[in-house]
This record gives sequence, C-alpha cells and structure tokens, in this order.
Amino acid sequence: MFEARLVQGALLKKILEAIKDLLTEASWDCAQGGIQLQAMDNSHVSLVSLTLRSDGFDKYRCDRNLTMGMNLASMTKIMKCCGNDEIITMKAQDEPDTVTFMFESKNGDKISEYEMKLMNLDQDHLGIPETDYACVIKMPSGEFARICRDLSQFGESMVIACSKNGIKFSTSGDIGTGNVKLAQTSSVDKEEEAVIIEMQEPVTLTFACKYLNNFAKATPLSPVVSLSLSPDVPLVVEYKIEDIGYVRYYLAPKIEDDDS
Amino acid sequence: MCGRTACTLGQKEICMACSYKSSETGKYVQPEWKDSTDGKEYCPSYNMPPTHHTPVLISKMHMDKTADHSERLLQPMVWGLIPFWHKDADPQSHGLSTINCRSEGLMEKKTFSVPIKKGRRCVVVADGFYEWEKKKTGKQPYLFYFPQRRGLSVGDESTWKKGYNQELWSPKDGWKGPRVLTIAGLFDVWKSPETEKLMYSYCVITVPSSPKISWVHHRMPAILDGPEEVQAWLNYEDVDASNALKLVKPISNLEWHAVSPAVGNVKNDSVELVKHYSSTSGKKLVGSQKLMSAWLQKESPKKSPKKEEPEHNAMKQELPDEWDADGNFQEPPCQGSDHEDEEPPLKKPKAE
Repeated sequence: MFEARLVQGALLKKILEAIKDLLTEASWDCAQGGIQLQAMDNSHVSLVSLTLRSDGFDKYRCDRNLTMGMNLASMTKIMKCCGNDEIITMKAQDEPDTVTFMFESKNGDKISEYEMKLMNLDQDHLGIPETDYACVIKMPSGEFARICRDLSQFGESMVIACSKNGIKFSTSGDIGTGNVKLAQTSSVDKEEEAVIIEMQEPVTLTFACKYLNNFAKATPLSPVVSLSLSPDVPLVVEYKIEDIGYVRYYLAPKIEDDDS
Repeated sequence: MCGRTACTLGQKEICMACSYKSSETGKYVQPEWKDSTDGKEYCPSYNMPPTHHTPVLISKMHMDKTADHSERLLQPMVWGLIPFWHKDADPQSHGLSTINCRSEGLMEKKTFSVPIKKGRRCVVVADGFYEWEKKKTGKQPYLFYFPQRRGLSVGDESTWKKGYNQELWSPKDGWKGPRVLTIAGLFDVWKSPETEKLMYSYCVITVPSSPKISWVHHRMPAILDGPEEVQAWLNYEDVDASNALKLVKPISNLEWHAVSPAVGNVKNDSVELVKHYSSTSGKKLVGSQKLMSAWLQKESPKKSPKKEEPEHNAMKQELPDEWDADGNFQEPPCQGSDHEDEEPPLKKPKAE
C-alpha cells in the first residue's frame, strides 16, 4: 500500500509543470524515505532528478518499494482537474497497475478521484557522480528565467561565464548579440534577492537555450535557483522545494563534435 | 559471460599495446608475434565472435624453455577451447561450447584442469567485450572496456584508427594509445588426427559479476587489471595454478556505453558498432549526449540487484560446463541464415 497526502496540492501541480515539457514519461520510485524521479529527456542531453521526502508530506505511507511508470501528458490532464487550493492524495497498491489521484476541497465537501493506468517503463540505470563544482551561483529564480527568455530570442545557445567579478550570460545570432552581466550582491539583506558566487576557478561553458528555458519552468517552486558549473561536466540547475525536497536539472554543455 | 569482443588493432599496434617492462632492462619491450600454427590469420574486427582467431598473450617459456620468465609471445588462437581429448577430424565437432569456463569448479573438469596444470594460462587481448542487457523491450548491447586516459574515448572513431605510428610507442614510455582489456584465459594445443597439425585454442574464464556490472549480467570475464596481474597469470613457472587462480576475481574498474544492436549480427563489422548509442532514440549519440552519457555512467547503477538465479551444480556433470547457470549463450546471436557460412554454428549445450 502506498499513500501520500499533500495538503498543498498546488505544489504537485507546479512540479509537474516543471518536468512535463522535458519528459514524456517517467518512473516515480516510491520508498519509505520518499519519492524519487530520475530521467533523461528524449534527446539524452539533460537529466531531471526530483526528490520529495516523506516528511514533507502531510501523510505518507509506503509499505513496499514500488515504481510507477507514468505518462506525464496523461498526468498533466489529471492535474488540470485539481483546483489550486485542493488537497492531493496519491494512492497505489503494492504491485500497482494503476495510480489514484484524489482531490479534496479544503472544506471537504467535494472529492474527485482519478485513476490512471501505469506504464511498464524500461529504466536506464543512471548514476549521478559526486562532483566538485568550480562555480556555484545562487540567484533569484525569476531573474534567471528572465535572462534565459530574453537571450534565447537571439540565438540557440547561451554562454555562461563565471568569474570573481560576476556572471555573464551572452548569446549571439543572426540579428546580433546580447549579454547580461550580474555582479555579486555586496550586502545581502534578503537572501532571496541576492546573487552569491562561490568560485574555485573561473568557468565558461555554452548551453542550449531550449533546455534552460525548460528548466526555468520550475521557477514557481522556489524564489532562488542555484547553478553549479565545472569544465567538461553537466551544469546543475537546482530549485529547492520548501520543506520537501528539490528538483535538479543537469545539462551537458555544448561541445565541438567530430562526428556531426 | 563473455561471447563477443571488439579487437580492432592491427598486428603491429597490438604488439605495441601489449608491451611490458622487461625485468632485465626496465624498458618496455613488445611481445614477439608468433603466427598461428593452423594457417589462419588474425583479422581485426569490431565484432569478434568465438571460432575466430584473436591475439592471445602467453609466456615465451611455452615455446622456449630457456626464455626469461617475463618474456611473452602474442599468438592468434581460436576462441573456443578444443578439448585435448577430442578425437574427431573436425575440431569444432566436440559439441560443447568452450568459449567460457566458470572459475568455480574449474579444477574439477578435465577439459580445463589439464591445461591449467600444464601452466597453459593465457591473456586474451581485446578493445572491450560486449554484453547484452535483457530489457522488457528487447536486448540492449553494451561495450565494456578499461577506463582510458583523458582525451581517448573508446566510442570514437579516431581512437581505433588504423596505422598507429611509432610515435605512440617508445621503449621508455611504452604504449600511449588506447588501453586494451586483458582477460584471463586458458589455452590448449590440439593435434588434428587427420593432418597432425597443431591447433591452439583458448577459453575465457568467467567469474560472478562485480556489483558495478551485475545489472547487465550475473557473470563477467575475469579481467586482469595491471601489469603485475598479467605477469603473474602468464608466469606459470613461478606462480602455481592455485596462486594464479587468486587473480581471477570480479573487478569494477570498467567503463561502458550502450552500442547499436547491429552488433548482434556477426556479419556486421564496422566502427559504427563501438560508437555511443541511445537505447531510447535508437540513434548514435553525438556531442553533448556523449558527454552526458559518459558522465552519468561513472557511478554504479542504482538498479536493485537481480535476484540470484539458482546455482547450477556444475560438479554433477561429466562434461565440462562452460555455460552460465542459466545456460544462456544466445547473446552472440548467430542467427541461423545470418550466420557466415564458413563458421560452424555455435552449439547449445546438450545437457540442460
């Protein structure tokens, strides 16, 4: 028996919005400690890693570890049926063919239930290596989303250069070039609004804007985003989800390829 | 389980890649190449199945008793041990598949214990070996190999380009090209009752998979990691069988990537077979995809270990049991008509 109740049902809606454009389907691994989802996008350039700890739920029970393969487009349809202020409960049997989403209104006078068929997904075994990053940037998530959106109008890829002076996002395309420089915040009043750089050595890497824009769909989950960069390893874009976990996106930098 | 390799370096390059430090001078020397005794040659291939000749390292003492204990020969031998007791004129008609032998109970089986007691230990050399993962949707092959130094990728065409020049090798620094896999094997010499010709053949020793590899198969070839292990395995004069067998163990120092299912057909042989491949999109990986896949695989998979399959009691059988517990050797799928004519079909074991 698996059951997870989230009073703040809107959170699960936001989480789904944050991953559904990258992944068409994904396995939700449920265990006593919580729920995990890890999957590569279809192009195999980015990876999504989501963790929701059991203590972040209002009620959580998982008798046996189970894996639920879900079509995220179908799940999105179901989540659209859930009001923003409704309470969500996910339920499944021990070896489930289906998962049930139950939505309750706050005063308990309306209950809707949707049962969704699960999929048999072949899971790739993905190990995320522990990595020391040369630069870790914390910045307002809204600012990051804005920069990604603005610069992607000009070119397909974006250069992120981090040095002790600050971060520079730049792009170039047919119509010209654009860049945004952010300086480290000198006095931190509100941590949510600060740009904080922890740097071991300067890094410059190029990424496809398309993916960064997709990652930025997690902006409603957290006011702060952190970007971790190192040469020759994927960028990590992390959004902490208050009291319950995080969603991390990994994106391989663009590299010159002799094959293409 | 090991039934297919990639072995693509030419004779010259593979001698360089197998060079070792001479115990006398401390400088690198290349093993001496010895042509096979049965007239067949080694043909490099990205898709090397059993019954083909592949280069195998042996101690020079096998040919020359006065040789130094560190001296080595590189000789093409047939993959698939021809049992010494086999009497038929056709070397392959013994009806057993002897491409692998399980390390457990190896000493109880004559086919393997007799050669090992004679010191007939060899090191099978290859770029890497292929293994098939059984998935719900079919089988996905992977290529396994030693980690390479920075800048060399086993999945890149340039790594295996032919005609390495002498710049990649020097007596001082040895070989600077890709590191080849060194697998513990046994060889034997079989005399054809018809032609009296000698035929050298070998089998690959297998061990239970290390935790890092067990997601793909519960057996793996016994890989010798480093020059000391290779030397001890080859030097049958100073290292007896029981001590040598201590070197036969699961290792984790391997890397891998998914490759195209085209490797399943032995007729296919091109560099495309070793390239990075996406099992979901069914396409070759390029650029950032390769980087991502290489970065992710460096850690052991989080997949829960497969349930232990019931152990096959090998000792009960009279015949050598080189098969895995599940008798599963269809991986190199030499599929009926797809099979090359000159190759005898790989037979399934009779007793299962």
